[in-house]
Amino acid sequence: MQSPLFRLKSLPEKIAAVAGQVTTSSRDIVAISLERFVRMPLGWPETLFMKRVQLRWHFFFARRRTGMFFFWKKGSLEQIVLDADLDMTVVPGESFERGPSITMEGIEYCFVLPPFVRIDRTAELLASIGLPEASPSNCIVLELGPGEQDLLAIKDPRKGVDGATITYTRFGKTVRVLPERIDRQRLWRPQPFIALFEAIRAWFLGGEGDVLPIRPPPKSRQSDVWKMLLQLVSAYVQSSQAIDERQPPPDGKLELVDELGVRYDIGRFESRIILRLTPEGEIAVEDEDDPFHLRLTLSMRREPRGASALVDVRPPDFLAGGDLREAFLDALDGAPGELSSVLGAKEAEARRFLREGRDSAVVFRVRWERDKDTDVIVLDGILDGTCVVAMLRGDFSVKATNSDPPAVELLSGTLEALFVGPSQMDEPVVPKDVVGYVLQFAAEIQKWLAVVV
Amino acid sequence: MPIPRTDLKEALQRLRDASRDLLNIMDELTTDEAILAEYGKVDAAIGSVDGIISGEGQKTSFSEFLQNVGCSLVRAQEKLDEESGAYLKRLQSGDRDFVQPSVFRIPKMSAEMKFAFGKIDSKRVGLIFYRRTSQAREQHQQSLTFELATAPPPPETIARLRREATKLEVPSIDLILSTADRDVILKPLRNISPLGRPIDRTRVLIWAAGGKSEYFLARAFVTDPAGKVGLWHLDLSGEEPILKVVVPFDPGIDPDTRAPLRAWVLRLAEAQARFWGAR
Repeated sequence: MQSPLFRLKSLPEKIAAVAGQVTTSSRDIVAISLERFVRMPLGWPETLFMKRVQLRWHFFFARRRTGMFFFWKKGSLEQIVLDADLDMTVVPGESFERGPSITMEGIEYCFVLPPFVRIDRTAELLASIGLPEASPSNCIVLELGPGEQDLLAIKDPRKGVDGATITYTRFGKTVRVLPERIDRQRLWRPQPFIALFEAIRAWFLGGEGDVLPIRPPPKSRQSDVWKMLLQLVSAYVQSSQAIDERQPPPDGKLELVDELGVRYDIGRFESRIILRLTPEGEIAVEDEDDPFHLRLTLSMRREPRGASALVDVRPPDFLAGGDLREAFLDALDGAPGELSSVLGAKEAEARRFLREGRDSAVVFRVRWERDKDTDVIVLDGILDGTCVVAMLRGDFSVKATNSDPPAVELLSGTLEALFVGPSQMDEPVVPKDVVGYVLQFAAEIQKWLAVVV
Repeated sequence: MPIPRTDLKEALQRLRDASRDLLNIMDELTTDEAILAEYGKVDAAIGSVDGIISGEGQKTSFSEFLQNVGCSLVRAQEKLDEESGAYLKRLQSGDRDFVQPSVFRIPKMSAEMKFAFGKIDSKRVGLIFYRRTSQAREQHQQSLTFELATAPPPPETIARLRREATKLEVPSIDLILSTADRDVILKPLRNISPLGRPIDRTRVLIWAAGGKSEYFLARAFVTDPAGKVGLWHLDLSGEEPILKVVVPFDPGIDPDTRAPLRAWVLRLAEAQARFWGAR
């Protein structure tokens, strides 16, 4: 059944209405507990208060000819939808004093860059890494490894494996990353990709890049992404105001119930939107426009003089932590026979390798069809006494359950080893879909830099 | 002829879907906001059948829900209060010296719930709880987690709370017993009988009359067989004190009618004297 559609601009007032009710309800609860105080026979002086309220909204954005809309539950008629959620926690403020009122004009916007993205793509740098014909608008430069020496540069990533140009610079030496034809397959050497996966993993585990101040474009030039972001920021501002308005004035005469009440603030306000974008940065209308998703995160933070909006993007299909990643690794653990076969080790040794390498494993989805995912899992550890990296690919059945994460199962006979060997090994083993994933990832990051920054 | 409920539901479902399809088509045909807004009203009205189609569960509002939870917690604590009281009494009456007296309390409560949103505006946030599992899975997209905790109020608030509680529960007269306060009140009455003598100062009942610096005073003589008793109103808010007689201190006026008042004043004056004597 279809849920009513609402104009995007009505989102803030609906969220603010709920936020304001937290303060009102907390006051009601104090009043209820006061009645007990009056009635109680033993005289224990205690009252109730709301210590924490966390609201998690799940909703959808829809793009239509007449503008943008949102709705609360997904129906079959809306095809162009973006999944979004909002996590808002209301907690007692640090002080009983009311801070300065938050307004849209007082918001500072920042974009958190992935730590491995170089934004100083000067002509000299591009020439030095083998891309003299590239420009900042058509290429992306990724910094791999702990230092600034190793660079993966990609020109025209959105043109895919046949149109993009990739160079890899290591220890000051630059090489073109080209496929080699082996057994009628095109295969790439693994080093730059393994280094990139490691960099993405470090990013997911808490690495943050530079924070760039950004400014919302004027209304006439706002992309869909900016429109959604600004409405969410407005939801935060209006929620803060709604909470403030319902609290007793700081200089007024307090009623008893207010004396016992608590001043509330928004402790956490974080929204995530799974974005499907066209190359122009607009929401993708057709399914074929966009096989790659990005997860945009907006975090609002209260500052002494107002608030700041931090915008961050990450690929949701790349899993370096979390319940879903654990579910994939459990599925692999549940198929010791296949694991042993592709690793070329005994079952006990293969399971030990998986279990010891779990913490640092990464999982990413290279293809998706309804309930079936094709995923690549990168593991490292010691196998039969040798330090190795294993890049495995398999098809997994992923079925939604009543609770997170979905049920994940390895489809029998689909697991294969793309690469098992020392991380320095230089044999061409990486297939086209993995390289395609990397190029899409690079294209999305490049797109994002253009849209937001 | 009665229409089977399932047929009605299907018909409503078709009406609802057709309305939404029409809105989609109109959305493609025109960008005129006024036309779309007008039809949006029709669509919203038809949308009100959603609840019938889905067999929606219980509806409530956000604030009512939290109030109910708070109420339930308070009631549960009150039950525990009673049980604690009974437990302490049993300890006192029995030979159980080895058991430490205890009271039982609920220090905090956490809960998580899933719901769907109904109508939301600035005054009311509607929540819907579905009964059927399949509907719950489909419709429950929102969740609320909250924690209620107990806390002792500040001492000054407790004092105020007790005063408020007493007033709420048992209307009463607070006699002014502070000697310093009484001296201030009685000072202008030094030469007025029967309020100004030293003996009178412990026997006069004084209580606030409501207004700022306004008091009622009452005095009765124990030994006077004629039953003298008087009631005065004293206003100290102006530059000069104003004393008005409410019930004249005159034994000749209707002594039988005034006997209950006299007895009441005497009883309280006696208790008041005992209060000072005990201190």
